[in-house]
Amino acid sequence: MNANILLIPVMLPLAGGILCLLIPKKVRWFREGLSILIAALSTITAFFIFFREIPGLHYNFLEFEKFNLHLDMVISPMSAFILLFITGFVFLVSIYSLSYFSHDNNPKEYPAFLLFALGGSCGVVTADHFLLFLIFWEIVTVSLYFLISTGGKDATKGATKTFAMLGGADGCLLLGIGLCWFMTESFTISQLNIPINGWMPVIAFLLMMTGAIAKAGAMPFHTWIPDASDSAPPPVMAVLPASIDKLLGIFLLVRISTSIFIITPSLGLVLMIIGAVTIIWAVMVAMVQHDLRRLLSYHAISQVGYMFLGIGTMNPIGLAGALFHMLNNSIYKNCLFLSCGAIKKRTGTTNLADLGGLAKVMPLTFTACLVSSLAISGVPPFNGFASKWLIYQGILDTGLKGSYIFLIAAMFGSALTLASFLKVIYSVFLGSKTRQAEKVKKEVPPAMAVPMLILALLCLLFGVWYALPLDNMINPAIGTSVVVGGSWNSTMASLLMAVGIILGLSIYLVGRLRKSARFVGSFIGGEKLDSETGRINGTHFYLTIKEMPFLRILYDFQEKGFFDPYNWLGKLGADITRVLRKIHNGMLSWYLSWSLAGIVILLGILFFT
Amino acid sequence: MAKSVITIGPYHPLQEEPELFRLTIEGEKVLNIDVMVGYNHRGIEKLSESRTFDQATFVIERICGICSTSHPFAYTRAVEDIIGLEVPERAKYIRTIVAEIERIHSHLLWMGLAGHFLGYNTVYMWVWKLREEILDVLEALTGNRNNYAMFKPGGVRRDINPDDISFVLKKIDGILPTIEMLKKAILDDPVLHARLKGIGTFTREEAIDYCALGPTSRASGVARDVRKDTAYGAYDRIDWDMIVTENGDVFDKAVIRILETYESVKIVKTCLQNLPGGEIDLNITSIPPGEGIGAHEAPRGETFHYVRSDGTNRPVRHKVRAPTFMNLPTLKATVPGCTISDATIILAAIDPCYCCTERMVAVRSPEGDLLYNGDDLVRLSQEKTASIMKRMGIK
Amino acid sequence: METAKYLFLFIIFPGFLFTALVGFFSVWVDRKVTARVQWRVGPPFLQPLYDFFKLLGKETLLPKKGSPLVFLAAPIFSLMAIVLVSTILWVGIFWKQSFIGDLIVVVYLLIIPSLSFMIGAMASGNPLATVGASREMKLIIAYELPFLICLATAILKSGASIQLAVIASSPVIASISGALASIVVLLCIHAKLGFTPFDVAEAETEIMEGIFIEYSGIPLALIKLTQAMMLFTLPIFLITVFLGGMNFSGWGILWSILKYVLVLVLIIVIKNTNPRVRVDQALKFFWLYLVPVSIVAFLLALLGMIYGIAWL
Repeated sequence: MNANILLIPVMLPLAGGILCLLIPKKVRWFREGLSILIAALSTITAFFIFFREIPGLHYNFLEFEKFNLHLDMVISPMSAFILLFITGFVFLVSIYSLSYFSHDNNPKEYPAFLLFALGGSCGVVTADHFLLFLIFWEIVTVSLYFLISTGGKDATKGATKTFAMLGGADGCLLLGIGLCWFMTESFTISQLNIPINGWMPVIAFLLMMTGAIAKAGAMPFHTWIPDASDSAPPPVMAVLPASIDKLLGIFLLVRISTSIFIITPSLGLVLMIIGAVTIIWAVMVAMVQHDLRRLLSYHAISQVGYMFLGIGTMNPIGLAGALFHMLNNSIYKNCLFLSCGAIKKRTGTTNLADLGGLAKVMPLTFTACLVSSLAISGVPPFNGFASKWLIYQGILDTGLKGSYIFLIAAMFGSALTLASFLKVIYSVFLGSKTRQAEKVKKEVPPAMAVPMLILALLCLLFGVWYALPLDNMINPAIGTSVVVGGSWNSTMASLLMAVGIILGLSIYLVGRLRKSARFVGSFIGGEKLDSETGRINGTHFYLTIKEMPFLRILYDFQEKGFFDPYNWLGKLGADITRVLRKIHNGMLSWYLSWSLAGIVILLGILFFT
Repeated sequence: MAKSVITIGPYHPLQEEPELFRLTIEGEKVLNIDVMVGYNHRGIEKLSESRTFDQATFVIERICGICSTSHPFAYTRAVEDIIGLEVPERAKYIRTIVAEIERIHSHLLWMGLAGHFLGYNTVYMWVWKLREEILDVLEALTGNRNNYAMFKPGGVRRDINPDDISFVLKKIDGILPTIEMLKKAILDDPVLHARLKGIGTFTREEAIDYCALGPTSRASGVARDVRKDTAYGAYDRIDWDMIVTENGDVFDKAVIRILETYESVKIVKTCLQNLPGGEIDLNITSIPPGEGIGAHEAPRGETFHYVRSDGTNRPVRHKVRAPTFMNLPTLKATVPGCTISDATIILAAIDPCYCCTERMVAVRSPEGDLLYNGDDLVRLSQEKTASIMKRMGIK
Repeated sequence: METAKYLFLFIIFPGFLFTALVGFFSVWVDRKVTARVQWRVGPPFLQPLYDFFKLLGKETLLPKKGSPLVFLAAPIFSLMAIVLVSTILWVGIFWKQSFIGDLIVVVYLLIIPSLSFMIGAMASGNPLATVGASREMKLIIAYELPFLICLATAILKSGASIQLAVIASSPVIASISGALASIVVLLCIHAKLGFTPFDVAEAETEIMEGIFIEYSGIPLALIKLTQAMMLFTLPIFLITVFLGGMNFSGWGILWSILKYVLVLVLIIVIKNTNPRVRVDQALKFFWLYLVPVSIVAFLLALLGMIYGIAWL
């Protein structure tokens, strides 16, 4: 196949995005149809790229002494499957968005920037030239800013914070790339292989790691995700911060940890510590959230911790687990945010205290949400468990005596995740209906339901037959095949589980359930309980934990934003400029004297050298 | 945050009788408690008016099964107050003996139930096995395990057989070691300390404000006991101690009840050993017009009866006020602020006896207070039956 | 043929039927011993079986307000998960080979019964059941932490392997850290079984059976069956991971049965000598008392591993 095919997933969406911007607001269907069409074409192209051997692409753009900008693109096994999923996700979300945005609430820029994001992401995974990589990376960041802003006026604060943090991190990335060029005088990514000896590679690694961390949303640069989720539309959250950003961030992290640099065990340990802290901290904050979107975004942050843990183990199993988890996370996180959007569309709110009892009216959303909740909690046989299991074995294989603490943190994190999602399932779907939930009469339209169900099905599929993605996508990406020390025969387990379910059902049949069942009201002691006050509020579930002695202080600090680097830097910036502000007192004479003094000094220097 | 309301009752493993408690909760914490009574009302006071003074005693002791001596004791004291006579010495001693044995059985019952409510079924079963010994004693003395029919206005109905005294003394001495062991087991258990200490603290000022009675107030340092404050029965002739503690939490209430058991044993033994001879009944034939009041320290607090007579052989008005009636409102002070688990044990700690409490329900509606007479009640129940039949589709 | 063999393992032995029968036997032992401790007579030998079949014939009441489908499906999932766990453990003990899953798989599968109970409770539309479900979840969070730390100790002591057959052959308890860890895990199992002092989720006298309040008839029969199986499976888990598994040759049989009876008796004794604790007291107990003990055990095991001292 011609190498030029690599250009299609990148250039086609970019061009389509520009076209969408030019189309007037009225012609909505054309815009959205175009985005769906382009996403579909990109997905098909990605399928081709995945299944065939594609050589690299090389065009010289400009050369200037040692500095050059080539259009280099290459496809490795890892980028191939990531490309497949990026295009697939954008395709599903664009179909979903068709129904999500109603006639009157229809941001004009949304399809355009979605396409920009698609093109940029595809460019990131295929670029082989660092500067090209950076350009595409920035395109994704900028599109994210605009996409978040489509949520309306309140979204500006979140969008600004996002842009500030990601922009800052991208600046670090740029510095890191610059240092790499300084060390190796080459921009070609696939040729770099820098050993960590001396302080400059370490600094470069850390700078680039910062860029990856901020994009993926691990601690401590995670604080943009919850604030963005406050008012961004759920499909935006689903496609970018939940899935594609993680794919890109982890992609970068894997590249810098395995091929670009050869990291030492101590740097691996740093990654593992970041991972473990992220898992526990983020899930404990998530447990006490009242708003579904914030809760889901904190969980997204927590799951990134697993990926960091896996990469930090520096052995093939852990790496395979991390990559697999990256994939699984994007699938089920996507599904969760899409179901969040479905709920928002039907009820108008995502506040957990105002929802309830939607399981009967929205069965498809309930199924998708339940499946993804079980997947994210790591319940067998879903895909979340398979990837976590691989990561655990990777941790044990490091041979570090202290690695058990990471194992404990990771496993405990999944118990806490389960707790959090039980609260979500109860508050939204089970329990009795609130007045607001009474308004919901029917399920969401198929354009929204089908993407969710496809993703939920993928969760099940990738869990039961985890060898499929493992052998075809992950193993080629790493280059070696993983040898597992434990055993998890998930196909047989799923078969036996199915047999067990049939056993249970047959007991129901033996007892002739159908004939002997009858409906009654709830028994709470004999009196009637009115539905408004007689329901338990899901947000009250974990007040006991919130009020435990040591944790209460931590939660207090978290709510006040003590742990947010954005706030620290904001304060720092304000403090620094306060000093400088005093100098800017607005009087013309003052400025003139400064300028005069500067000119005199300059003349002096020029005179005497 | 939106408030949630859960109910304890009316049918609940926590209670022996139906009562409705509505707890407003937030998470596990109780913010407010509301009591709705009325499930146990049987019209006892009205029934007394259609019985003679003597027959009324049988109805009155069935107000409650656990404190079934307290009500006749107070009632007969009220009737004797109308006449203005003192019952014979032997009758006083016999009354005291029966009342104190009943106190032992009631406190043992409470201990078992407290264990059950805490999930400590071993204590529950052991204490109730012990209680069987006491019920044997009561059966030997009075002929029945509960509802003894020993009291009548003017004295007691049956005498104590001298042959029974040694049997009773042996039984009562026999339970002492077991009570001692239970006392150590309960008071030294660290988990019980964690569950009971500091829970439902009821301060002295609150006890006086709410007019709490019995062990509920004695746990908070209010030293009131009808047996000490008034001279009746044989209480003023015997040396015994009133148990008062300071902290006012559930643990103290448990301690008081255990220690009072010891005091009751002392009183019973002294009475049996010093039983005077003589008549047991004044043989009253007529009650003059007038009104009288009588009180007795039931295991739960002071039981108060008021009787008015107009010279006929039936009471014109009989008013009953049980101790739980005064102790129930104290829940408003002790329950809010604790968890659901604590609320259940605080509810049990006032040793509630709801069937004693139910005397009259006033319904406040927006149109004003409703008062139903007999015909109204019959009509209401017929309407309800008709609506149930319609709902079930029965013609 | 493999599939047929696996089906036999799952349904007959050591799966559904075997676990059910031994589970009912364990429940009978529990009820009889408890009754004797309480000076009662106790039920006859086949009573748990009679109860199960009686429940099968009773009317099933479905909640109007909740979600009946989820309500009915939950007991099936819990049953399926516990049968699978039991099969995996027994194949590991009996034939000493790994079957389907290793230790981590078993730990995760053991979450499913509690999870199904909670979801079923939440689907029953009863506020008391919801209170019970939230308490159960808090209890899980409470005991999961010391449980995991002690499991890490066991893995460390068995040579960093998570295969059940390997762990089962090394008696972790024969060392100070192993002994500490075994005690902690015994308490965690106690909480998982929902026995006093940790039966806050189904506190009969507080929230009227909590998570099971709306269940009746056939679903309740399945739940009772699941609980019976858990009473069998969880001590076997403890024996596999900490007590060196079971040996089915010669005198080993007696010794193995003795181990099982010992664990069962310990559980019954703890159940009968303690009142129920509050859920926040349970949280404090597990996090502030058992977690430091587990950490001490783990550090001792670590030291033992580094310096080659086996009895640490």
